[in-house]
Amino acid sequence: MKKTGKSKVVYWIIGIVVIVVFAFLLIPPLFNLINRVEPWVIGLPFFAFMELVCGLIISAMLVLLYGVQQRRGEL
Amino acid sequence: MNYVITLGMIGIYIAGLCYMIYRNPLPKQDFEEYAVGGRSFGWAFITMTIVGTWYPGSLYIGWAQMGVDMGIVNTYLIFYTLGSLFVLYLIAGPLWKVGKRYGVKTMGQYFQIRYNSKGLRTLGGFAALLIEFPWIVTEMLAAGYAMQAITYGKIPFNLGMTIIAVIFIAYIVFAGMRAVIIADFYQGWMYLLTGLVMFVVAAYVFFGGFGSMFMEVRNLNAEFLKIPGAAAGWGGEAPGILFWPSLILMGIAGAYMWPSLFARIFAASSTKEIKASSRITPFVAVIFAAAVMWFAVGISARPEFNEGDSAYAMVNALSSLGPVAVAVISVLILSGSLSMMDSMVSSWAIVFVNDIISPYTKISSKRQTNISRICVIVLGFGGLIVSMQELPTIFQMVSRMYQGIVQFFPAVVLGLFWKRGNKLSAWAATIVGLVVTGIFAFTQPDFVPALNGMQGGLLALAINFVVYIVFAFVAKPEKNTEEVFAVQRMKDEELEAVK
Repeated sequence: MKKTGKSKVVYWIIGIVVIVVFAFLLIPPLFNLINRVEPWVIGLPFFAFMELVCGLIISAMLVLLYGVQQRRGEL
Repeated sequence: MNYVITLGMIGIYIAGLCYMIYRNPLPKQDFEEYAVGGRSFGWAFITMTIVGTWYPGSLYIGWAQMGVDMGIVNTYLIFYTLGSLFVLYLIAGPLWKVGKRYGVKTMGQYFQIRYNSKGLRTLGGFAALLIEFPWIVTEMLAAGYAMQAITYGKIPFNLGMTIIAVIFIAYIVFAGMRAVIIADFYQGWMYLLTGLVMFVVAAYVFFGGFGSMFMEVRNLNAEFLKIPGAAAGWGGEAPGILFWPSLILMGIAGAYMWPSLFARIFAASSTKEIKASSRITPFVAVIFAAAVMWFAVGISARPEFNEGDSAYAMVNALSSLGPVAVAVISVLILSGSLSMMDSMVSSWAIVFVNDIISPYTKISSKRQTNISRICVIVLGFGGLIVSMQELPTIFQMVSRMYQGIVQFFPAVVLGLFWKRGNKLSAWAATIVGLVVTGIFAFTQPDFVPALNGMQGGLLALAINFVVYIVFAFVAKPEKNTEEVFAVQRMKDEELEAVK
């Protein structure tokens, strides 16, 4: 099935979100922003909290990618 | 009494495992059936086999030790798992289709189809086998320790490893990859549900929750809650800031290059079934792995569990909760180790027959199956004997192996998505990558201080990519490239029709 313009936009959004999250996890100047103990958020040190946030965002993007492909018959 | 409770629980677990495997014998004595389970498994099995194989028994020993000694750097596992699931999602479709069309069972065989090179098939098989082999040691050690803990020392370490080796070798010989996937399905659920409950409860019992646990750790040494972690755990000097990204990137690129995981792609009944597993596996990575890894960091605040060998600090802590906890953590370690070891040994045997013997001799499918069975016995007991020797720490072994296996990533991924890739580029890139990694393995195996903590394998991977791209423009693609790419673009149903 040929990809529509709309489906391509969704893929671009998923790709950009995942790249941005991984950039915060991997590239030292950005990583230094999250590699901190303070402040504590929901009872967790900042880095642990950000691990949770980044992990859940990446997971959600993968599920979204599957959902979009399934709905559009692109699997 | 304690002894009876723990052995009883383990007995129930092993009886359940044997029953599941016994109920699912090989439908026919055929190598396709033995090696990839007849390409018949749905998403539920694929999901649990990924979970079961991904989180080994050494999670509670080696990775826990990293958390206890160095701190939260052990959570790199979460992110390389997530990244590798994206890689799986991207490569699974085209690889599965090539596998279905040409009967591919291993990475080496894919190389022969894509690059038209029998030699590359053998190199891929032989090198992957050699690089993954030490991993069995990490799992044997974990299983031996679990057996010792369950029996309160009545079964010595080496005897415990031998019992476990006999169990998994027996069921792989019985039903090959089918047995492995059925066993992993059973173990994956057990691993996930009991593990999650166990670690959340333990965090509350020991510390009053994860928040209070992290407070205790911070009061002791706040460095444990940042990357790269406590300098003392690194022998006085922590690696530079590039160590953390290096660990994650190596994991992402290397994860599905392991023969044991690569073969899972071909066991699925369709590309949809592989991709459907992505609805569950990423959340397991975040929630389950974070609970285990964070708890290990918390244990660093309780030195009473950390006396002697820190590898066993987490097990010591959980065992202090009583015999039921001993049994649960032992089942967790055993199920993790068994599902990892069965996957590895079965896939090595298949790689050996498929990529090292079969390309050079004409043998029947039944004979391939029987030779695989002999290989399972030789490789399984070979791993057991090596495990009884003096070895480096589990984390060191795993990290060094990743640097080697990752060198197949460019030839697989660029081969799947870039038509210009050719035999010469795949050969040159893989050889250069393996040689550069080999040089670092003998000089600076864990990380390179001059590169700010980056691992030598990552530098080798970058060179590997460059070499592949350069040589892709030097030589022409093979004649069958267009045909392989046409297969990759086909729908699953169209492939069935071609068959």
